[in-house]
Amino acid sequence: MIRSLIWLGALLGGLCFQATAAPLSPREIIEGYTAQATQLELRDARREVVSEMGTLRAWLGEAQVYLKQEDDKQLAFTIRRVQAQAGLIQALLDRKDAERAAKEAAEAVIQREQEASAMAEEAFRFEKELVELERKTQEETP
Amino acid sequence: MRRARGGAAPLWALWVVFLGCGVPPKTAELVAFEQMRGGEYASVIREQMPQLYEESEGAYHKALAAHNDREPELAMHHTRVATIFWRTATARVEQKDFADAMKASQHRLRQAEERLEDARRRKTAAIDAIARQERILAMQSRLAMAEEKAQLEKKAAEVKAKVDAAVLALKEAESIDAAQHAPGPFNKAQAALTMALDAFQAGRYKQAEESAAFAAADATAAVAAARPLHEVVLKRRAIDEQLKQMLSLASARSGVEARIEARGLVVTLRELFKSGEDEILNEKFGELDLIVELAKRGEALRIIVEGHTDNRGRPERNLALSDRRAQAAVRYLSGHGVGADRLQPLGRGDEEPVSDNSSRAGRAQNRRLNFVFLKPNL
Repeated sequence: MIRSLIWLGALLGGLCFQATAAPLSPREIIEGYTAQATQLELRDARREVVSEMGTLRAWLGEAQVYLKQEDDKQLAFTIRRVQAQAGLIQALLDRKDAERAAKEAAEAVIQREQEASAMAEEAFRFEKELVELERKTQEETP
Repeated sequence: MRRARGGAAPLWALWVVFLGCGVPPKTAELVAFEQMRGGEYASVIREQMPQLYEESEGAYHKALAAHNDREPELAMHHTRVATIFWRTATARVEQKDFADAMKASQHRLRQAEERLEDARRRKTAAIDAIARQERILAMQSRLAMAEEKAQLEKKAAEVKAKVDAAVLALKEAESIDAAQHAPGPFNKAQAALTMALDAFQAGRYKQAEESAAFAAADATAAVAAARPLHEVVLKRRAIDEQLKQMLSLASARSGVEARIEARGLVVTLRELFKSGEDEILNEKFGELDLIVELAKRGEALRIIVEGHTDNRGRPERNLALSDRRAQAAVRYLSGHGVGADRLQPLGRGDEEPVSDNSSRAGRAQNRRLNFVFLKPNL
């Protein structure tokens, strides 16, 4: 049972890091997720997923402890949660990016629509001036 | 009572066993997950994120199984995993929603940019058209100014022509001495012309035109008034000139006395007859031919032939003699081509002596024929 859980963890870790043919050891899996956590922290420059990152770091710490204690069962469970948590953080960061991009796009739309309205008003003003000039020209044509 | 106590004990034991065999209450995390799972969002997650949904569902069922197996740690683990997958799915759905919103915003942005570009084009076109219209207006203004200037120049030319015409009319009036013959209209014309010239110089063309018209009218009136008088003067001058030439011709001839008097040229011939006779001496025909020549030169002039005698003899006889002698001269002249209707013989007798009859020389002076070439009455 424990052995099968370890193999499951290795399989998932391997999928996550696109591992080559050789299966990864639990230590390598933990190191892989630790590196991914660092990457995610770097990506979280605005510190929007601090709490989630804390959980991930805590579980990575637990995994290290279980690795040392050679508690394969708990190690497998923890790695499973670490994997899911890393996916969650990735998704949350992607969502935040998408939200920001959508917000920026919406703001850009507002700004551009304001520019378009202002430009349309300006164009209308010039067109009105043109009509007035054309009328004047017509009047002064002998 | 004992039976009662004895009967209650098994029930208590059965209740304790029942409680011991029952499923413990779900953990708060599991309950929270189930609430999340039962929410309206669940169908969205199932449709849009089926893989994550299945992962979450799998973990949830494992959690339930662990819970039922009274394995709280394992149940907690699976609950957490289920929750994490559920939240991940939720985040992905929201990410997709934001991505859709962004696409919609980008679409609106493109539309706004098209409107902006359209407005910019309209503005540019309007500005260009305004610039064109302003150039047209400026050209129209210049054209109007040029036309105004041309009209002014045309008007100036017209007025100048009228002023020039007035000047010419006044010069014509001057040339026929209108200042003398018709001073009233001439002076008015001169004053009006001065005003016209001043007004023209000052650019007051209307006033110049009016004054020029007055000047021309007055000058024309002056010319009309002065011309007949001037023509008379001219005729008189012409006659005077003619008489001078005739005088010159006559004076050049020896023995002929000629002078110009108020009535005309008077040519006096003497010793044309023998004493007491009225027949012209042959040797005097030459002098009479001079008269013929003078008569031809002044062919428009009437000629009075006055006969004069000295005072010897009776006056009646002298008068008759002088008349016959005048007639003899008239006959000679008419016989030599001078029209008889131009000739008038007139015997004066001894009434108009030009010298003293007491001396021989004086009497010789008084015996004479005066050929008077009369100035016409103009």
